[in-house]
Amino acid sequence: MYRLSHTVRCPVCGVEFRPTVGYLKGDEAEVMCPNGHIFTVSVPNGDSVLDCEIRDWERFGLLPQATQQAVLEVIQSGKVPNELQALMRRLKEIGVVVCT
Amino acid sequence: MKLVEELNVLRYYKPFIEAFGGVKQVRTALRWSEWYAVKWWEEVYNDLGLQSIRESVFARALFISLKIRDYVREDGNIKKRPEKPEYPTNSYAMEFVDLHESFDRIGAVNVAANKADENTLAVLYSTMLSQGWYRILRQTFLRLMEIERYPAVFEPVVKEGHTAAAVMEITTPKMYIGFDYRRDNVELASATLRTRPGECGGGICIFQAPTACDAVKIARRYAPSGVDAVLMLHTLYWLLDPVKELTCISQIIGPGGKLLVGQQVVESTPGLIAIVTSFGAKHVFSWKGVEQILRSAGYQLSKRYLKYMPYYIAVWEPKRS
Ligand SMILES: [Zn+2]
Repeated sequence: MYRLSHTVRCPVCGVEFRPTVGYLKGDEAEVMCPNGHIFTVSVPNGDSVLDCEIRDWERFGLLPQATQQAVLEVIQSGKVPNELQALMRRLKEIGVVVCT
Repeated sequence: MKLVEELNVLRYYKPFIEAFGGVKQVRTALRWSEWYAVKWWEEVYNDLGLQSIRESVFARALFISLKIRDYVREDGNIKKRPEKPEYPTNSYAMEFVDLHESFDRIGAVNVAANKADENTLAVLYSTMLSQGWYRILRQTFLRLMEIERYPAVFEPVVKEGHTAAAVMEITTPKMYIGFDYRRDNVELASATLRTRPGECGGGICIFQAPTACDAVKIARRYAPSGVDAVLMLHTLYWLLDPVKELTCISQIIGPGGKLLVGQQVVESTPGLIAIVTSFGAKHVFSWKGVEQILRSAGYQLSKRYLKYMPYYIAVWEPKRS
């Protein structure tokens, strides 16, 4: 269970509230407004990859092509899809990706 | 592969094969896994000799899986070499082959001699878990197991939380309990599932425990009447003491509950199983070995889907006496 840090507005009744989300479907979750309307919100994972760059190209070069591509796209967009979150964290931990 | 097994693969693993672009692409990917395994074994054998299989699970995985395929002799010498396959055209098959290539660059001898950089291996493991082919493999397995039929699930060794996340893409379990013995995995899995380690708020409980036996004690607090399914997708070889831990695990399975097993075995893809052992898996099993362990731990077979291709898949349940 996870309480979002920001408020959302219910598309049905317009009420603003801070939702609590349970299970995630990818990067989204269903929430219910105080008036009982159910809708989907996006749940960012909070991992920032803004101002990041590849620092250790030698190690980065060991990764499969498609993975290299995916990591570069993540850095460019600043958004980490759920399935790449663990990999991005590990790359940061060992200094392959460095964020300022 | 025997005909019956081959028919079962087509029957039960169709979505996976289709995603791979058909049987031919799957075969090409498998042939690459064999080709790399032979290459790696040759390098390890030339450098470290046959005794490497006593010191390294990685070398043992290579040796056993190649011996049963008749590529190596008892003494470790190469008996025959597979022809280098064509590069696949399907993107999932490519990813699978590229994983082998990446691993090849770390160096089989380095890995067998325990000299490979652990962080690089951890990153490669993370890479594998995030690859598209692995995602399809997970989904196919969970759909085959009809995971939505089980409201309360216990997953020993959650790794980075990808399997749990895949379950939640399919269904919304009432309760999902998972543990890992590694702190980093517990944190990664919790982040993936947007929960906090050790907290058990909205039905997802991820925590750290040294063994499955310790984990079951904790899990019982969350699920006093037991769970409906224990999910073990490529998890058996991570258990330090499989029989003992599986015996403990049976105590968290409630009435009518099942143990859902998917496990790479030595009869599966030789290169891949060797790669996974390099990531820290503790054992290599044959499919019969898997069944022996489960029987010794007090389980009985409920249904076997596949013996080894692409990996062992079966449903077991605790033997009720
Ligand atoms: Zn509303």
